[in-house]
Amino acid sequence: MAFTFAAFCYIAALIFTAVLIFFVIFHIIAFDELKTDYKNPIDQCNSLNPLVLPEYAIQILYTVLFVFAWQLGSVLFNLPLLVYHVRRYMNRPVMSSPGLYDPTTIMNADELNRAQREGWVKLAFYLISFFYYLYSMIYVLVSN
Amino acid sequence: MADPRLAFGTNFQPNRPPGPQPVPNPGFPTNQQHAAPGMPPKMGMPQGPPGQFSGGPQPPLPPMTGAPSGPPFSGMPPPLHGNMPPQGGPRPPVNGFSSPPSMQPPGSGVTRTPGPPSGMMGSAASSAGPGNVNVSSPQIRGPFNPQVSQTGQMLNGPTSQTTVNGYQSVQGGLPPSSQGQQYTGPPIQPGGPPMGGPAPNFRPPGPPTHGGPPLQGPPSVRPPGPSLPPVSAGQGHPSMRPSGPGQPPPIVSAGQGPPTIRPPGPGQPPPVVSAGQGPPTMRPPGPGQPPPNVSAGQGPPTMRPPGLGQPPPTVLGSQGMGAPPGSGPPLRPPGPPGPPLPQGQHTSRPNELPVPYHGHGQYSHQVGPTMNLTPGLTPGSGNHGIEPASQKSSRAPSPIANQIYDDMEGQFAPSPQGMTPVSSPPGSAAPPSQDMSRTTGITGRRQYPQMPSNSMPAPQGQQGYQGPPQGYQPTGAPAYQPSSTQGYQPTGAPAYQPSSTQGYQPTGAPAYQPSSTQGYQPTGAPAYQPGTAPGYQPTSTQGYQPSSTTGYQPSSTQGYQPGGAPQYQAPSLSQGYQGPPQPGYSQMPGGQPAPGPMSGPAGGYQPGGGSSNPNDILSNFSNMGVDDSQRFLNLMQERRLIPTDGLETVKPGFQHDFKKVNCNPDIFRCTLNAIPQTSSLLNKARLPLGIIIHPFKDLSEDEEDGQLPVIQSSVIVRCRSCRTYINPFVHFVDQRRWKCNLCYRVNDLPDEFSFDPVSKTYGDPQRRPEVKSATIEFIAPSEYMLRPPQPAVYVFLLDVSFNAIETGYLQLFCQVLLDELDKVPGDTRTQIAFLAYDRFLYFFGLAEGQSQPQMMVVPDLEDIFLPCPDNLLVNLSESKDLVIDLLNQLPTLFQDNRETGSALGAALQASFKLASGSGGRVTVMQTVLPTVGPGALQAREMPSNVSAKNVPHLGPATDFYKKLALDCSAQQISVDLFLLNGQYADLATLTCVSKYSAGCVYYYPSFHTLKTPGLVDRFDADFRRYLTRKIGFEAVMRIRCTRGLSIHTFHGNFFVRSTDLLSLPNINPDAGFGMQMSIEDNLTDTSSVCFQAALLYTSSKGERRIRVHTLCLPVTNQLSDVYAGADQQGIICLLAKMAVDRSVSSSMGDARDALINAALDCLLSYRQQVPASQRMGALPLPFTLRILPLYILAMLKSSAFRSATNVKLDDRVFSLLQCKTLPLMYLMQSFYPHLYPVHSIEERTTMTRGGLVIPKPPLLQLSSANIDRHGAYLMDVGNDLYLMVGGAISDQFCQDILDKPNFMSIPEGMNDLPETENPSSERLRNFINYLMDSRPYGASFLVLREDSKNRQLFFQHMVEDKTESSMSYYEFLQYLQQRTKS
Repeated sequence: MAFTFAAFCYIAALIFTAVLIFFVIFHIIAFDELKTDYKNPIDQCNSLNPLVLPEYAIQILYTVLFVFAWQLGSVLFNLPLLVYHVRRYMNRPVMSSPGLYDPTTIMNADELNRAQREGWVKLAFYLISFFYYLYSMIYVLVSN
Repeated sequence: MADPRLAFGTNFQPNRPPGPQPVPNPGFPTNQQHAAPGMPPKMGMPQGPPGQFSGGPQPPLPPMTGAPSGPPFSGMPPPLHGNMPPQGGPRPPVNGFSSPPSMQPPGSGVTRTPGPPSGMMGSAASSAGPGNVNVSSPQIRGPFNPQVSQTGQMLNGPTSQTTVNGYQSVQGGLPPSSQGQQYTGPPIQPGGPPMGGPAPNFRPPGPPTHGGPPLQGPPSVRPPGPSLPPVSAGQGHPSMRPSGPGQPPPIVSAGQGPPTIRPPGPGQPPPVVSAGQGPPTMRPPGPGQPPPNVSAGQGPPTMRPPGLGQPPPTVLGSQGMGAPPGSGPPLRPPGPPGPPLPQGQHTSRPNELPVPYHGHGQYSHQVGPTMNLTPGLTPGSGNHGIEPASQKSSRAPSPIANQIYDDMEGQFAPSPQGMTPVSSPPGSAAPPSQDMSRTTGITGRRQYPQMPSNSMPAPQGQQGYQGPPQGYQPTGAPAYQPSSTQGYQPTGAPAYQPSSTQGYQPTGAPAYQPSSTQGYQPTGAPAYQPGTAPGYQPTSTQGYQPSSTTGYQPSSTQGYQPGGAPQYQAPSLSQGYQGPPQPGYSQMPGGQPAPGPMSGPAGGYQPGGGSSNPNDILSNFSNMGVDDSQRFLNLMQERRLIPTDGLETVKPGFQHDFKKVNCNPDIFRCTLNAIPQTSSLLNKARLPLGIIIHPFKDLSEDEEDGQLPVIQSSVIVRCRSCRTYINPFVHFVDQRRWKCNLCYRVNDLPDEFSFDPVSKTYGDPQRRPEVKSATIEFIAPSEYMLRPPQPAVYVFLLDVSFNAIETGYLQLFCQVLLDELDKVPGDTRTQIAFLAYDRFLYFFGLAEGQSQPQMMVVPDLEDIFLPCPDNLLVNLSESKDLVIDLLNQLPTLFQDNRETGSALGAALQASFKLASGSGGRVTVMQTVLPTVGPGALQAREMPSNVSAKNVPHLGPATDFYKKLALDCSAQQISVDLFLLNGQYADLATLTCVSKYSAGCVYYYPSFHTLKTPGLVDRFDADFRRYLTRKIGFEAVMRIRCTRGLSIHTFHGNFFVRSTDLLSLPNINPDAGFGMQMSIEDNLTDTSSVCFQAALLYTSSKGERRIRVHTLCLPVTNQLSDVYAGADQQGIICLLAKMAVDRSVSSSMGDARDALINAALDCLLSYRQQVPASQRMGALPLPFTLRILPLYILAMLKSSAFRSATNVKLDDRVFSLLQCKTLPLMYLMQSFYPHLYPVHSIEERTTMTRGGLVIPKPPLLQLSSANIDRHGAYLMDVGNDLYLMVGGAISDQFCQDILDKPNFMSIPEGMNDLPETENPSSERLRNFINYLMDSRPYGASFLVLREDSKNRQLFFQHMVEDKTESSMSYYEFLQYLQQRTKS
């Protein structure tokens, strides 16, 4: 039983993941509001866009931590999402500010549906991640 | 590349058959031969044989082919006639019947199995495959029943009487068949007739089914009831039918479809033939002839009884008519008489008994598969179907116009045909007749598949017809025809029925032949001929009948018939159809001549229709279109797709009053006029669902219904839950409550609403204009204002850089604005400001009280501020003198400007600040790429290193302009761009500022006041219109739709503020929008859906107004209805918009693939609806979608989607933008320009507008095959008009029109016509002026010599031609066909 770097990584990831879960829930709610006409797409995009890069950064951060801790299983687990994030951001619409969502196209049903689906999938992923990290943390702590 | 399919939206993608994977290449396999050109027309015949006939068919073909067959036919006809007279012969039919029965049993068994209705269905399905048919059948049936019953009685009567025994027996056997056919009754007879059997069947069924089938439309329609009654003929049915109650006979119509279908059974055709012959054999019983009749179809019944055919003949006649195939021919024969079409036809028809044959033939084909039996059956059904249709149509018509017509016709036709067939048999000619029938039948169907076959069918038809006609004619065909054609439906039907009924029944059995014949003939024949016969024969024979049979009838029955039917039948059928036939016919006629009477008509027709102009044919087609909504065409053989007077507009097929009040399709239309009930059905159809709207269209310009009711009331009645405005489609629960048609909530009606302002009394709320008009405008009370209505605010941004001054536009701008200053919409509050810019900004102080305008220069672009903000935006009326002063000075003020930079971004920001307090309109004149300050851009266009497949830089380079546009939008400012750049100006980026602020964009590439006079004219006209047109400020538009539907994507210039709300800072009368819809929930619990667009805006007078458009459409669960209701223009329009999105979001290559896949999807899915036998070598597509591949090819060749690299990026971007914003009719024209022959303009019909006589030249299709060196052609591309003068033009023309002695002296670049004093010049100038005045924007005019170096301007629009990098239309079809196979 020792508090290794790996254990630290898992604890950090656990906290980060909790934060990401809140991000995703906010994302889902925001798009639901758009769909039900509660909000103006410009306002909604203005509130959503600043959160995109932090979310990506956090996810990349703990993935990198896992690399340093040589937790390959966790790295592999996160790799697909990381790649998706990078690609998604590279293909974003022409924008001068950070973010992904363009108020002129966000109301397109395809875009809305995609964003909502993405939100739900990510929520599921982060929830699973959360428990996986919790388990891994305990495992690491115990096994050492 | 992304999956092209995806491109199109959900609808498309899902279903796309994987099979046809898009071959990216547009290059497409070209195959081969262009033969296409030649092919098309005649092709029908030739091709038909090959593809169409699978062999079996071939036999028929010969006949079809026309010439060969022709003779025989002709021979036949005579025989028929002979028969006719002999009608006694017909009786034989009776015998024949009996025999037929035997025949039928088998056949019928097969076909009929389905039971009457099912039979219809089945047959339809099998033969035509046309789901439509089936569909229609059902409908028909409903209606039919009545008719059927009547007819049945009639028939029964007749049959029973004479044939009765035989029949019955037959029937026994037949029943099955008949059922299959739908004709229950018929079956019986049919069995006999099948030929003979048919006759009996016919009546009963025939009328319904048979007639129906062929005519489908008609049948179905008929069924509707109204017709039916007339059908009274039906009466006979009842009795007959009883057995046949099957009546479904109505189904028969369906049956007809089958007939059509049969084609597949080409092999069968032989049977048919055999039938024909066989019939004889069979007939031996009798009536060999009867058999013939039978074959004819319907005739059988009649025939039989009569036995003769004569009576039958009459009937036959009708039947023939009814039977698309058969009838068609018959009609035509009459047709020749053509002019008289109706009458002539009728007459002919009588003679045409043969027609029945045709029908039979068809049936046989259909049956074919089933085998002999089928023949018998088929004949019956087929003919019946057809004939019935005709008869019914005639009768039906009376009740309802077109629709009924068709339906009626379908029903009627059967019986008539039956008769005819019979008669023909008698005709000794039995053999001949048989041949005829066979040919017809076979050809008809088979040809159908092929489409082209027209000629084929026609021949047959004619022959057959002729025969019948003769016989018929005697009776009254003539009279009939007239009525049927035109008035038929209305009057005809009733009259008919009675007569027929009576005649039949009474005489029926006993006298049958004689009496019935007569009686019948009159009715039946006429009816038939008019409706079905004419039209049918040509087209129907081949492609048409089948389709029509199947699909059409149904559709027509319901919605279509009403609208188009009338016209269709008359015009289209007779003419259009005939046209096609004619070619083939010509020969036929020859043969027919024998028939004498008939031939006369026939000949007349053919000539008229066929020979005459392609145009005529087209027109016919178009007409047919309506009826034949359910028809399908074989594109490989149908070359003339566009009627000479323009494409028809499909209207929703409502059975009741909704139709009358529905929104004008120019304003609001849906791509599908029958909404699929479920999204899976929509996916099956592979058609895009969406609406195309032109909400602020100038209604005053619309002569027809320019009346826009404007209501000022304190209470605007709206649904309390969904806020829908009350509209004509709501349901009034009682006097005090109404039920919303979008959310189904029941709302209270305010007391005020029952008050009629006109009579000043309280009463029925239905008197209110809100409930009477689908387009209405309210003057809104204060609840609809967030702030006091804004004044009209205009800001002009003028580029005064060196480049701009060089173009000389400034002078023109100032001049036009001075001219129009008093006409600019507004009131006393109107405000105006001017701002010039190059590298700096120049503001002009115009404050009241100043002696002269004061110019302020602002060099600081980074932090824009307004010098003396109060004096920049001034009241126009108060500072008018200063404004005029400024406009006079402006051109000289900057004439020596050498500054080349352009600070557009900063200027826009400044104007935003200027107008942000009030909102308004900013007009930008830009001539170069902005290079300075915020929003500076760089040239991105890379010359010629681009692969043909992908075009980069279609999207914006920066979001500066988009963000600015959103800011403007929030402040109710809209930015309009006039782009006069000579070099690349990055439209893709610049236009964002207009795109999201609901502005508009005008583009004049390389504008120069001296070098491009054409553009100057256009700019002048456009700018004048722009300044003076109506304008709405601070607008929003909300689109509501019935629960279950939702808006998927928006297309146009605006900002989408929520799922159904568009923010439109300005709305102008030239802006069009499109929305893709998706079906979220099944629409099973509703029979109609509504779309409501409400546009809330502030008028230039400061009034808040709401303009509401409501569109109501029926819901269907039948694929055939979906096809029948497809609005091809709307679909093309929506596809273009979807492709634009795809090209920007993905790539141009993907967009092109997606377009091709859209056509392919449609072809593949429709293919499933067509019986396999008809698919061979054919490219079937419903009549309502016939131009889809053509326009998709045109789109692929347009500057927007062309793969060639020689299109400037800016030109392409502008074209893409136009696809998004142009109203439908102008967008269609930009893809496929209008081409008119003007060398003989005086020969054309004219119309009168404002006291001027305007000639109306026919439209030509854009193929160089239509260009003659001896002619002169006017092409109307929308923005440009080109007059192409052929190298061998007469000197007279040059002298009269161009004021030049000869072709060689015509100068290059002539852009005006001299006003020479002679009638032809006046006509042409009137016509050109009319064209230019009838569009909301300017157009340049240019005379091009055929040998001009600029002739490419003209020939690049010939989209059906092959070019180095693109396929010809025929190659494109071949490519599609190849893809559908793989």
